[in-house]
Amino acid sequence: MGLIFDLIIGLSLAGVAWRIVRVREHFQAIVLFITFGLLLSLAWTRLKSPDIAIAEAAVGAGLAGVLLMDALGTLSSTRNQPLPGRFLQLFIPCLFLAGLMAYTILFIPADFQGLGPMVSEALPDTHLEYPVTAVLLDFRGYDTWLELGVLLVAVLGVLCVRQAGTIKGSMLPAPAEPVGRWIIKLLLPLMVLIGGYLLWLGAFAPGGAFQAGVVLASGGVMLWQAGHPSLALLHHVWWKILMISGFVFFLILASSSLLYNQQFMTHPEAKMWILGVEYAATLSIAICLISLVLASPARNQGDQRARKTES
Amino acid sequence: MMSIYEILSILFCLIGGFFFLAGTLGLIRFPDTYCRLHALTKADNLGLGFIVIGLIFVSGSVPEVIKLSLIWFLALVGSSSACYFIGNHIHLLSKVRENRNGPDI
Amino acid sequence: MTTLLIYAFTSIILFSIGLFGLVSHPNLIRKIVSLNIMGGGAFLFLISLAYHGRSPDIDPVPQAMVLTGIVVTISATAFALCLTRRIREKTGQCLLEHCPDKPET
Repeated sequence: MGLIFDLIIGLSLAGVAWRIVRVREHFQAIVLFITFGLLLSLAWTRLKSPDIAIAEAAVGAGLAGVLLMDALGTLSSTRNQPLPGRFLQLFIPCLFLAGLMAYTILFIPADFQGLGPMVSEALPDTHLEYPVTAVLLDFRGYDTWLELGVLLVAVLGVLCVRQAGTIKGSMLPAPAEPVGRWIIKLLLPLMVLIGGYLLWLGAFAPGGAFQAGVVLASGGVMLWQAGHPSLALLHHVWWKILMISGFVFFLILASSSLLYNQQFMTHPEAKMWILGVEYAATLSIAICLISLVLASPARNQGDQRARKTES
Repeated sequence: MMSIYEILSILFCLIGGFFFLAGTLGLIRFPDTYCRLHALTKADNLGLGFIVIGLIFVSGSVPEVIKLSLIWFLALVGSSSACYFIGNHIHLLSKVRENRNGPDI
Repeated sequence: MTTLLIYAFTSIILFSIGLFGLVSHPNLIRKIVSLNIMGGGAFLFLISLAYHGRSPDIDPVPQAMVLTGIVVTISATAFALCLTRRIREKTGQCLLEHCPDKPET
């Protein structure tokens, strides 16, 4: 029974991906891409990774959809572009590559164990009960730390390309319709609650910094989309401090172990250390993702005029 | 031998599946966007409601029941407001088109 | 084992379709979407290897890597879209074609 479900998910994933690539209209491709993200999060639940399913549903389907739709609104001038020619010239090499990669799968050893046993062996040292959080914030702390750095660099890059010092100034006007305000009132407290719950859950069950940060970020983006002024009230210095807090806090705590003549990124008080880093990382991820979505559109007069003439 | 709760759960899930099927059929077969929105939001919310009721029968604890009902509530809020936004957008768009050459959405 | 095979093959198909879209579309937004599909395929491959189907718990290391990867993907996407806007501002279109002195459209 599960096998049939897996097959259906796999086939629809492949079918939707093919449609995304081959469909003429960009708008249709983006809507299909959001569908693709939701299907992928179904696949993650089938593969017993609820953490990734949450992150994928919020990021792959939610934030990426908002970003792409927004970009399409300001960028697309020509609808219905003809599909490129050269179909076979490009398709056959890709098919060949797919065949080669599929061939390698047949050589995966059946008794392959992975790193699971090693992680569960070392798990008691971290005083955490959930292995994914332990891997993220302890065993592979470098990954998470540098990932916070990547987020920060992306925000800085966007600011550089826009030649702007702050992310503010791109606030949408408040909508006249009551439904937008109503949905904010209803959903935002719930989203903050769910974000906090996921963060708290991370120590012993699926949840943690990434999922909580992503959920909070989607709440912030919703607030921005509805034209609520509260995000603009945050002073831009605070905004920047929150943005770098995860990266800097991680660095300070990681190098504080050097004072005790221990190795970089080792820690005597494992659980406190990990939870502190987790909370700072959550805030940082949320604020960085919000700024990436907020900062992307350069909503100047020319753009709006272009869009008006288009519609 | 199945308990009465399991039988009820299967029954409700099947009813929910039927409504989902009807909603999808409407989405594919209905002529214009308003009708499609109608089919999608009404039938699918009803279907989700029946499936949630079906799952409540076999759920083990009170927090699970609360979470399931919360999912249904959030889906209701999300789909109704998304329906409003899409409908509003289509309405504005058709007004613009009427000025040019008449509606064809 | 069969679940692993289904998802591993799906991931390879997704990766190849994404690659095909990346090289075949001149439009930059479509290229970015295709790149995201390729990323999805790579993540699916990692997790399908982590899921053996025999042992009850799945390997947490690839899960953590994919979680990091999803956040990195979205930041790369946002930056790429920002660069696309800049290209559009400079050239008047968002295509990646070699057109040396094309006038503004």
